[in-house]
Formats: sequence, C-alpha cells, structure tokens
Amino acid sequence: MKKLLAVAGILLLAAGVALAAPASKSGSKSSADKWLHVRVEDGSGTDAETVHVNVPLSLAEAVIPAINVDNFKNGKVHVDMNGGNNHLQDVDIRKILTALRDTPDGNFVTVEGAGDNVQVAKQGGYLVAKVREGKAGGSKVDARIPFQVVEALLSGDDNELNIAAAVRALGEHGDGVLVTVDDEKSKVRIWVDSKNESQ
Amino acid sequence: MLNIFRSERGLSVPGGMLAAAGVGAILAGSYLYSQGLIRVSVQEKSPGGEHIRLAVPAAIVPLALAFVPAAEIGKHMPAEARQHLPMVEAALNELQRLPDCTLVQVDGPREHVRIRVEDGKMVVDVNDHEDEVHLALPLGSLRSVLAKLHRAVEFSPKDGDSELSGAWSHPGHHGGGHHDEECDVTREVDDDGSGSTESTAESL
Repeated sequence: MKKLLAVAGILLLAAGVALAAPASKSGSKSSADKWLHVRVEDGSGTDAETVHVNVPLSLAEAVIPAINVDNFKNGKVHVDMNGGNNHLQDVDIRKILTALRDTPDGNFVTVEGAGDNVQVAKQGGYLVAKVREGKAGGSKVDARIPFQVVEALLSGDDNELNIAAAVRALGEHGDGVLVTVDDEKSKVRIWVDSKNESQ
Repeated sequence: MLNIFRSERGLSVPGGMLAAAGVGAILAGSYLYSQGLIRVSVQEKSPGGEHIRLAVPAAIVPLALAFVPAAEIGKHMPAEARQHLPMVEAALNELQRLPDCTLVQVDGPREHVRIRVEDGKMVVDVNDHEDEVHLALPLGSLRSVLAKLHRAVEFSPKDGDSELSGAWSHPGHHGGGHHDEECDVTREVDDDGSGSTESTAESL
C-alpha cells in the first residue's frame, strides 16, 4: 500500500511539473516599463480603418543596436549631411540645439501666413512644434519631444543620429504624447506610457 | 488480477515497469505540454476553398532540426538572413519576456489583422476578404531554430562569395576542398558561352 502511495505521489509530482511549467513561464515575464504606442485612424464611416501599434521600448532598445543594414548600424543612422542636395549641410544642428537648451522657455519661430501657421517653441524641457494648415478644418500637427530625447538623438558623431540613445532617453522620460496629427481624413497619435494596450 | 503487479514485498517487476512507464509518459506529456503547440489554420473564403489545419507539438521542432545538417542550411542561407539573425535573436529575447499584449492591430472594412503575444506564444490572426489565417507559434520553439541557424552561419557563404552567387548560393562556391574544382567548371561553362557567371552558378 505504501509503495502504491509512493507511485501515486510520483505521478502527482509529474502532473505538478506539467502544470507548473507554463505557470513558471508566465511568472518570469518582466514588465516592459514603457510602451510606445501609435494609433492611426484613417477615413470615416464604413471605410474607416484603424491601426494600433504597441511596441515596448525595451524591445526597441534591444533590437535597434542589432540592426545592421545599409546606413543603420549599431543603433545609429548615418546621415550624409554633405550630400549634394542636402540642405542640412550648412546647418550645425548641434550648435542650434545647445543654444536652444540654454535659452529660457519661449517661442523661437512663429510663422503666420495666409494659409499656414507654424510655431516652434521651448516649453518646460520640451521642444514643441505646432503646424496649422488652412483656416478651419485644415490639418493640425502637434509635436512635443522631450529635449533629452533630441539631445540623445544627436549624441553620436557628426553625421549620425543615435536612435538607440533616443529610444533609451524616451524610456527614461515620463509618459506623454509625442505627436498628434489631425486632418480631415485621418488622425495620428504617437505617445509613450506604461500600459501595454493603446487606449 | 491486480496480483500480477504485486509481490509479497510490494510491487512486482511488471508492476514497477508499468509505474515507471506511467511516470515516463506523464513526464513526456508534461514536457510536450510545457513546450506548447504550433497551430496553423488557413481557410480560403472562396467557394469550395480549402481549410488547412495543423497542430504540431513545438517539442518536435528541435527533434526535427537535429536531422537537418547545419552545413546544408548554411550553404543555402541568404546573406540577408545571416545579417538579420542578431536582430531576430534580440527581438525573441525581449518578446519572451513580454506580458500578454497586442503588438499590432489593424481593423479595416476589408481586413482585420492582429499580432499579439499570449501565454508565451506569438499569435497572428489575419482575416481579409480572401482568407482567414490563424497562427500560434510558441516563442520557446524558435530558440532551437535560432541555435541551429547560428551553427549554420559558420557554413554560410562569406561576403566575398555572395556577389558570385547572389542571395541563394550554391554549396560549391565557398570554402571546402572542391572550391577550385567548381570554379574551373564554372569557367569552362562560361567559356562555352552559356551566359554570365551568376547564371552558371545557379545552373550548377
């Protein structure tokens, strides 16, 4: 009888292993702290199409340095600033950025035209850009990028954009909306938060 | 009847063997269960369209891969695959750590796509006007595939060879003692006017 009990015990133990295996898997999952969300709503009515993309920044941080294609290597994109048709060749972006960082909050660029309004400003550690097209019902673009992210983006060598560092900086920054685009037909929203589902 | 499984001291030899077989079966079953199932379902929506369903224990993936020589995979491995292998590995490491979540969701008038991570599986659901496809792939099963591909990289054509053979190269055009011989064959055929070196390499 004792031996039968022992066999039954072993069988139960084996069954326990079977049940515990998936449970331990789910237990080992770590929470990806920050998620980058993209939501696109295109069209309206029955033709409406929505796209939701939710990417954990930890995934982006891990994958981006491993990309090794063309001018994207080691998490950095090589930009040919001195290219023939490149308008950036005469602009020292880093110097401009340093100057912006050291200046107090305020509007840097304001363009008010007949059709379009453009405003670039620094507000509370963010580089803020607003574009309004048309009078009413035109497209609206709002971008609010943390300065740390912009700095990280430009932290590589000359002619390089450090994407990996920018993603890391984004993860270290708080939650917030980065870009919204609203126009007659579509809406785009890009934001970072700690939820793994877009809302 | 149960007496044949019992001796005076307890379990008899057949009884012990049966118990051991039972434990082995349960352990094997628990391993298969823990590795999950690869599920594929493709349903064509056209009249008379086919419905293909496949459910394979993920545990057989490493077993099946054991029968495929790494050298053979490497010889046919495109340069792009070799290039992107570290990226896939990094992505897999992170995907395995994710909680259940939806990575991509597309809802349109004619198509619905959802890519999500669920219980350690990558689940892809596509439903458009032509087909309905469901795929569930345990992420753990991809690890053995990646390990095999890493071993295969050692046998893959080097960069210098890739321009000769294109993305899908022939085994004879990299490394090994037959290299020169193969090159001679290539030249001979080329001299015969059969076309470029590339086309010759493919014909071999």
